[in-house]
Amino acid sequence: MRLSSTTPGEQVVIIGCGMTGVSAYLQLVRHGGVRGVTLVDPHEPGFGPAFGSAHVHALCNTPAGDTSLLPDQPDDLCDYLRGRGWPHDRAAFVPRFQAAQYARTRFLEHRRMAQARGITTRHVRERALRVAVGPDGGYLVHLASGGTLPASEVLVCVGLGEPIVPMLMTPYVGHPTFVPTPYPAASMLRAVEPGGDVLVLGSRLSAIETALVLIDSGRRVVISSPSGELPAVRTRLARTGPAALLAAQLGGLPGDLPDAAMDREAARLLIRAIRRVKPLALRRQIVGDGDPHDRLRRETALAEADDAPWQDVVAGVIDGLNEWLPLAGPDRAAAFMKRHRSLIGRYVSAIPLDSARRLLDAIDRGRLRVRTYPAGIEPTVAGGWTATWEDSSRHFDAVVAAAGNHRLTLHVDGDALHLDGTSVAGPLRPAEDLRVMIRPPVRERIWLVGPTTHARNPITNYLHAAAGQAGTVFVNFLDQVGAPV
Amino acid sequence: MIALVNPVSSGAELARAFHERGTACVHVYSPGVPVGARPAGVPVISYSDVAVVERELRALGVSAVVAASEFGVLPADELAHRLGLPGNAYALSEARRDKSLMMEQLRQRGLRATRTAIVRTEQELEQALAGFPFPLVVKPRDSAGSDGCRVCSGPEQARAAFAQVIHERNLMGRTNDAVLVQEYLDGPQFIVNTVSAGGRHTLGELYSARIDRQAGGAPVFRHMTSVRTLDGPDKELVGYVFDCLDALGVSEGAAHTEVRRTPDGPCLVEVNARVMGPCLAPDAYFAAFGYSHQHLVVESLVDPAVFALRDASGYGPDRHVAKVFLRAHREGVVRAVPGLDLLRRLPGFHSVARLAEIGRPVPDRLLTTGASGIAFFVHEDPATIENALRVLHELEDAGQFYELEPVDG
Repeated sequence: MRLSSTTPGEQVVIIGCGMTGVSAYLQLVRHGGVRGVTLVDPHEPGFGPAFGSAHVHALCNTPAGDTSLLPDQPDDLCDYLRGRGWPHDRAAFVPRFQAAQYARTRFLEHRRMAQARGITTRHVRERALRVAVGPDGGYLVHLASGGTLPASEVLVCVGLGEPIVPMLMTPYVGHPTFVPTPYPAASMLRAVEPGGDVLVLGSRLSAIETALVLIDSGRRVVISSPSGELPAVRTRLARTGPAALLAAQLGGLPGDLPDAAMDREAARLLIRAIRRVKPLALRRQIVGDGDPHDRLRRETALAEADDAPWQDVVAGVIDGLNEWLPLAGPDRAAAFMKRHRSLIGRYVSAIPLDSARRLLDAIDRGRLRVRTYPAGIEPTVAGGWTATWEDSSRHFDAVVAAAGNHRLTLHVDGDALHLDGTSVAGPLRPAEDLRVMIRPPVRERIWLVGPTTHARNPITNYLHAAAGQAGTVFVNFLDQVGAPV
Repeated sequence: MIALVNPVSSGAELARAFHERGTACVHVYSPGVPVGARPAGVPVISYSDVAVVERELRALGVSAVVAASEFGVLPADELAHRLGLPGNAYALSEARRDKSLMMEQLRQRGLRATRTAIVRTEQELEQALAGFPFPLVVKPRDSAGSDGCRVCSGPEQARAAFAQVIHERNLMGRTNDAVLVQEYLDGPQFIVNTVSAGGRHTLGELYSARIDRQAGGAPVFRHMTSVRTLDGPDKELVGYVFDCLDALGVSEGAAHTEVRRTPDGPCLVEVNARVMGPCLAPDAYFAAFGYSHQHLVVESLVDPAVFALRDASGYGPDRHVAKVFLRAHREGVVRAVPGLDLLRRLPGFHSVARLAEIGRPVPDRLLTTGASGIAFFVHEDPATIENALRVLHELEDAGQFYELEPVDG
């Protein structure tokens, strides 16, 4: 007898098949107990835009030993790299294309495994717009083409939204030498000939990677952001030892502390954790002042001398905040993140040492400068740009926005979860088990996994956290209700 | 005994395929075509007087004449005709070499053809430019390997392209006495490799190609990836190619056809009545298709009954193959190939051939001769190959595949 879409595990739809979606698929197949999985994504599973940069110097933000699709096999990427003969180190930040190829390889392996286990796998090369409650209590996934897919469960694994276009450049969207996103690199490079000058807007990892790609291919670059600051420099991201302890301590803090106490407790635990790694005064391991070039040089030297023990507790900060802040409620959690945004941005998303060295080399060769945003920017008749700072102005052949992507803000309206990310009502906060409520108090068999859970878990644009979510939410549900097969 | 006419370029691979099979061959070389390496014991005839060659081939008991490179197309037609052996329609021989006659022939048969004008002087060029919309293509009337080909977006670029090639020596070793001005075909390019026997065409390989355009308008062939299953538009494209082969009198042996899928349907770029060039290292093709273009030619002549079975079984290779024309990002002398390790570790990598020599200038940097290296990928997953090729091309374009001495070094 054919089971209807209301039978648990009959037809699971995974929306979004980048790293998070593939991680969810792998874990579903390994767990078993489902009849069919449909993956919905305009891109091929594993080859989503987040890891889509093919440039050899576009590095993952987490080291190889912390970039696994399978939470119970933290060395899975390392195993893949070893299998293909890539020299690597667990602590090394490997190129993103290697992570994408790893994801694709594991996807293909698990697709074969699924077939052997009687689980059908289908990839629908489309964008999903919304998930509606169906007449039989199951779900219908509405696609951009107008079609629908029946689903017994839905895992929403979409990543980030559209690229951020800085206000400075919003009047110039569509201008031939304004590149609104640095991806794919080949398109960006077509906008400016080698030898040309490029203004890169943004100074986080995406902008740094963009600058290095441009410099490698013979362009000169100015990196520019409102702060004019680069992130700190690191050599690794440790998850064990003091990091694990810090995660447990932060995660164990009560959610009802007043704001000032939240800050105080977090700082106290953080400093104590860092001291546990190495008894080195904070002022001797971070550089709090100086122009960005000098700061980068000094922080690179600290990382080279292994005098940056702060980096060994960063993973603990991420995991601990993801545990603790949901207890404080959405508003207070958001306020906490806002108060500490620059600190978190600078140290959680620090620059891998190799990239820092290459930035310094470019600075020394006169190929790179770091500045605050210009006061104004105007297109020139010849097709380029003039950027004006208080003390100077400079010509650029092209401007590239590399300021990251908007977060997707999903919302519930009527009987459906809308995925287009255009909500003005603020981000959707899933329940504690990451399920969505369309008909409160019913917890739907729809789960958010990864970056769209940011209203509950603040730092989930990060595979370790997303894979962990994927590994627990749906599988727990199947175990509770019993599987159809 | 099979006569292979001018077995150079990929024709050398064709000769090896016959040799592997133990088929007796004689190699015939036209004047000016350098005699290449050949299997031991294979006789060679230098083509001086056609009547003499005809006599010698008769004496050897030759049963088929095969054009074994672009240089062999015309002489092979003539020899087959004189010997009374099966061959492509002799009356249409020139139309299989001359691209303007080729298009005219298609038009006469009611097939979509690329609008083409032959231009010998600046005055004729101006007349042609007045009648063509831009962009348009300017290329030598008789060459190969993308030699001298330019996509021109305006009259100045077209004049410069004309001046660059007219009266210059081309890749075929001839002087360009005429230049073609052609309509630009907008749409993806495909490659259709076939083997014909008794007027029946068998599809051996179908590829889609990535061709970039340099700032000066020169097309740069980056790679081709095989198509595994034919959808409706693919079937239409292959059917159109078969019609073109009929129109051009191709009834025997290999053809390598380039065609674009335009908004108005498929349209021919050119038919080459020979095996695909420039490199046919067979193992990668066997890994994907279970045969290579040259081995199909051999089979069609040596074991026609087996070859005939292919028509019934249809097209459906097991895996994808991609052939990449490796590129240096600029002119220079090769110092090292630091990107080779990365290339070899990419998923789907199969093999690499003809790398540019260390210590020598990068040869034919923008041409489709394969002289600066060819890489092969084979995989069942087209997305894996596509991703690997993106990584490889980004590496090449960033100047990190070949390490070059400075131009003035």
